[in-house]
Amino acid sequence: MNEGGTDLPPEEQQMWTTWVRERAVGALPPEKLLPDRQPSYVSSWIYVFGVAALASLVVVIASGMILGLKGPSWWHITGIGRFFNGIHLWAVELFFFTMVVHLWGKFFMAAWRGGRGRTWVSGAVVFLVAIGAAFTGYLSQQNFDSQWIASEGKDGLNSVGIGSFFNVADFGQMYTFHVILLPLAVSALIVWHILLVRRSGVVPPYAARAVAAAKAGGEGPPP
Amino acid sequence: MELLIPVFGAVFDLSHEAHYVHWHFFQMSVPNVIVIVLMIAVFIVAILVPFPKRERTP
Repeated sequence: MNEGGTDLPPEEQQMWTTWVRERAVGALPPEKLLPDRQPSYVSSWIYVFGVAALASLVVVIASGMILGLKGPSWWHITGIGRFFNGIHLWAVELFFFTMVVHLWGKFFMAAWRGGRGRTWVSGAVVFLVAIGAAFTGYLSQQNFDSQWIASEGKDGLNSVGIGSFFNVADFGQMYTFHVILLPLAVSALIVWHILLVRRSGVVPPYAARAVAAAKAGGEGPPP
Repeated sequence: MELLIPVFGAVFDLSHEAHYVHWHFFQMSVPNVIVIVLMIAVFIVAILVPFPKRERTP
């Protein structure tokens, strides 16, 4: 029997929408999904960099949508096109910069503690998938740089046996990966990452955990 | 702003191949080295600089 669903008629308890709703609300009740207060140790610059990475991604996607609508001749030739091309590039630079600082911080905080393994892994996988998104972006530039990267990259990918279905010299395939598949993967992983943060909470620092354990054991905080 | 563009262009002239740092097996362009050093510096600052506290209202 689903939790909280006992007062529903039997036919409604068997509906998949009921099952999904109860699982979702059970895992992430509204006060947990959108909390109005956080523990004091969340006041750290490391989380500012996580949010900055998220804000950069919004700019990356918005500028990428404009570039995709206007096309290569626009982003190479016109002044406004080159401006948006620059916005897209520098937003990506900022995205990786802030994401790496956040990643380093969480590594040294051992953010996988307390059953938060999936939160850590989802963040690390976002970093890896984003590298693929950036790589296909360089291949989608439609200039000599992208041709050079493709001619160098194909040898590396052929040597590991994936060149037949991931052809870096195929603009259409790389462009599809860059504007649809990988942005969707990065966005979905980030949504999952944030929901996991909301569900498990931010990892407490080592010292705070020791104090909490001491209090739970009926003893005073350690000196 | 129009007048400043040539000045910036003279200082930050990017219209040439990047210089490379090459030491044994290690080879990396100077712009990449600068970005990585900046990331490390910003990370250290983020750890050391205290986060501003908001005063609690009763």
